[in-house]
Amino acid sequence: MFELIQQITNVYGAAGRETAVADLIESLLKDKVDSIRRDAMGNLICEKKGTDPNGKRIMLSSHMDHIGFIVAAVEKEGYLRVAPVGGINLAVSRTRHVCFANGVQGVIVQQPVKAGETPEMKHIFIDIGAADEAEALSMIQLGDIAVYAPDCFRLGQYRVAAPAMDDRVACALQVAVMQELGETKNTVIAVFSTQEEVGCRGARTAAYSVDPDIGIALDVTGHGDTPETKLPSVKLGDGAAVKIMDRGSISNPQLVNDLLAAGERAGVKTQREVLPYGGTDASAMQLSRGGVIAGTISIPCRYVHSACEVIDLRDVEAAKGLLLEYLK
Amino acid sequence: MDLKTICELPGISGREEPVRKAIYTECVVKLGEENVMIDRAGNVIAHKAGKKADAPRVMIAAHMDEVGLMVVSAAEDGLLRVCAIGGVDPRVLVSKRVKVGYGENQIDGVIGAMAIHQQTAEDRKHVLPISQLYVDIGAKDKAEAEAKAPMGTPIVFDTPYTEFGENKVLVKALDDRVACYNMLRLLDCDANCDTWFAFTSQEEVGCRGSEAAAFRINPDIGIALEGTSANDTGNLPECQQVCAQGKGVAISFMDKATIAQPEMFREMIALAQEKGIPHQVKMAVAGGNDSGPMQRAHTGAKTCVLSVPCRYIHSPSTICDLYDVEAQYQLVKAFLEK
Amino acid sequence: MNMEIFDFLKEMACKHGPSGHEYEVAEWFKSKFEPLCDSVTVDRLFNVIAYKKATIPTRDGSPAPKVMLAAHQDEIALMVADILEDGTLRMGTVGGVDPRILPASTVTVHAREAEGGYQKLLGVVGALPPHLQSEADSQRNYQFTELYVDLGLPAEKVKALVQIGDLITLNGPATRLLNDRCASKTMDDRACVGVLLEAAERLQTMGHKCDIYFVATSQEEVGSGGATTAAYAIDPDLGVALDVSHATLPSSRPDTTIPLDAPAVTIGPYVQYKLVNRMRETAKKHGIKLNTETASRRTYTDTDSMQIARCGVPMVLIDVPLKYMHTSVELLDMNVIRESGRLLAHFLNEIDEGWDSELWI
Repeated sequence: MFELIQQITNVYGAAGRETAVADLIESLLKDKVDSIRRDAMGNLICEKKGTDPNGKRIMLSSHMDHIGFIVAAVEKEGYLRVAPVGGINLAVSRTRHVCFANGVQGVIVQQPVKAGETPEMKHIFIDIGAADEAEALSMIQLGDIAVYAPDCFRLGQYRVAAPAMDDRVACALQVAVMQELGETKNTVIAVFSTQEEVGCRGARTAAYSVDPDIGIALDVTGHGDTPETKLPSVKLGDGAAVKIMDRGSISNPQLVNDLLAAGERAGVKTQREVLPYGGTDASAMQLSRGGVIAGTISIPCRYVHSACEVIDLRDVEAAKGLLLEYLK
Repeated sequence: MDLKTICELPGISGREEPVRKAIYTECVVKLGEENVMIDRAGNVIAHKAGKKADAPRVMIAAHMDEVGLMVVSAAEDGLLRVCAIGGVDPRVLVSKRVKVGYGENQIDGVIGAMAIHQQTAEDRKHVLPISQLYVDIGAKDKAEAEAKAPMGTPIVFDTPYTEFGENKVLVKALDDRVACYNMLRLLDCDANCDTWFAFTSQEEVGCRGSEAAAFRINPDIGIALEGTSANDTGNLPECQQVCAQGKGVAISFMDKATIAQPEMFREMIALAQEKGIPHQVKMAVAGGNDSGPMQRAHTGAKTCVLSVPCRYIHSPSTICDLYDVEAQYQLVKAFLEK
Repeated sequence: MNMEIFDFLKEMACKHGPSGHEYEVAEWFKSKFEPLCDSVTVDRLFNVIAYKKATIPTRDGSPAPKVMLAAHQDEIALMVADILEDGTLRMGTVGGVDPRILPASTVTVHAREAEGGYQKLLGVVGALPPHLQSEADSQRNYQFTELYVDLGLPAEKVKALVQIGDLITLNGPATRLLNDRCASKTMDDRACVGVLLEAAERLQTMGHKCDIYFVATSQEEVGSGGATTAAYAIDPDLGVALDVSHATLPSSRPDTTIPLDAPAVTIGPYVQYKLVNRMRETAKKHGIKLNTETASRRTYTDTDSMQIARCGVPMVLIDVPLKYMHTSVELLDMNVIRESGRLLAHFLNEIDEGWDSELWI
């Protein structure tokens, strides 16, 4: 699993620029599913038909996009002024190594602020080593998006850190599930969605076109097991978290029970999650068309929206076991 | 319809009927009644069939509504308490003239404030919120005010169309009547695409009309036409100007509503270059618009936003440059005829 | 309705139905609508959709206009977010719960929902008492992180019974007050479902040219999810949402409240102004007092999502005045429920094939 996570987190893919991630995943799944298509929003939709013509349509959704910095203007001196794409935390971004889709590298810098002034995005620029505006514009264009540069490494025996762990770890999980999934009664549609970080935009159109009966988002969640953190009451290494509620959606209560029961049958560890913030693709799936039974399976993750998002491989394995059992 | 007429029509969000009627009438004259409808959200939708059966469905959207005020109640002394419809900065309201109500019942009003002589030094620092501003129609008491302007009466800025400076136009409501004006001109173009012109309602209160219009039209490609903030005055560095007047149509890579598909963004720039149409990249991620609902209707569409740079939008005095208005028209025309 | 309104409110307040978990209250409302409608279903999101077919054909044989009426059945609630070492419970919120109402409130913890049926445990919301706080701390309100639910049980028993994600509801049985007034939890917005039932009952004898969908919606308190999907499924030609609105209190600001003794309609961009006028004319014709209020943008009711369902739905919003919203003592005038039901029945009775002529111009 580590190798797969590493492979998928190393690919460039900002929100709205997910094509390279989709290309990689398509190559990993093309022999394992019945059909693969993409839509106008760039979602990758992989369908595996069920044996029962009256079976249900179950949509899984993990998002390929990653928060980033979009180039809005170039200074005469060649520095890039940027705007956030998704929920950027400035405090953890200073002097971070970033990269663009075409391989251009940069460093995020915060200019000095006046005493008492809170640093904002307008105080941030990216240094790409250009001498002036013309050189900068020969390297990148307005509208290009920088992301934290790939850097996936092991942390102790079970843990892995990387930028874009949110939500590529779930993409890896979803790839593994689809690779190992045998024949099923129900049709399973694995959606690798786009633009989740700017408001679950990809999942909305994907859910409309897939028209599922049941939708399960796979995403990371917060943690409550480092100093001075309390909620959610979720711990790394304690298994797959079945979401009961977050700010985006309230999971269907029966689906929560079914997922927990599947975890028990599979003999994997699960935990119950109540998250006082955040949202996942489940929010978009639940309200699609005339309504969908929706829920989320979460991988507990520390330091979400930083360049070192940390997960525990045992939780990913637990989520895989749970999902394979549930889908069976 | 000329730019003067369409900008001077009153039509706050949810009460667009004077604009809707004028636009509907002109669309019917140009395309025939069978190709024009008013939908259940108050949008005017005009259809021009494509030349080929497999031509993509293109939706072009410009919104009819403008920001303004609405009467909430009358005070004992006959002054009208109001609320803002859409994003109105209370700092631009004091000492302005307004039109209260529509049509035959329309009356004049002014927005006053306590004279500077009577304000304390502390008062002068504070922004008066809209809840503390009043529209004065000259009514002598509450009963007269309620009879002339009952709760819910729409109020628009009273800024007549004026050409001034070099190529500039000053008038209310350029956001987004300037694009409605261009879209009415585009009804005559020789489109290859299956084109749906949506004059939308209620953009300023959350892109309501375009949600409904985009669902009905289900486009493959969506283009929102906007009047957007030009921040090119006040001696700011170029990278803070968002976009500048006299430099052509502004093309957006991202705003609060959408990230333009990169292929759409690049195609628009390439097309403008090829046809020699003045254009610029909008250098800010700001504002939402009808592109959001278009991008996410049904199974999704490719979208982009093309704007006329306008100074002081959402205020009584909006300014555009006729050179940029023409550039927006030319770029959309080139796209549809391609 | 057949039941006395107070008895209805009393029974209604006992039904379990936090946002996203409306299954119990949905079944109850279903049973209430069944005798009055042609078909009643509960959908995937627990919306109760009661369909009453037109009883009078349209003059020109055109399809009957479809009208969707929505009032929400879900209630705000709390959820177990964490179980502390000592067996007290930290709370998360389901919908907008004001932490100021919680200290010393009694609540019900719905434990072990997973094993079919659940056990109701009485709890009290505790906090550090003022005697033990600094002067400054006792002058400010408690935050959620300082409040906990005390079940009066040893920690090991709590851990055996309660799980993260179990629901906690406020206790607030219906109390009859002077002058036909009544206080209870969940008046917001089940009292308005009561208005729908009142209207449905009157329509048994009144006749109507429109196809009517009475919907007790779900998840309004967390963003009107139920109304979004129900409106998609029904695809109505026009809609009426009913929700509670703030009644006047001594401290309320001008223009933000309505009198307690009569329903109101909202004026603003999220409703269709000519339909609003139509509603006002209907009220006038039948001697029903109807106030007005304004909303400059969002109405924070099911109106907002219904208006943009599919190709758009012209909307009217009826407001039922209520004091002390989102508490366990939500107070209203029961006569307003009757009068609102009467208004709605007349409005539906008068919707005909020409309802939308010159609607937009």
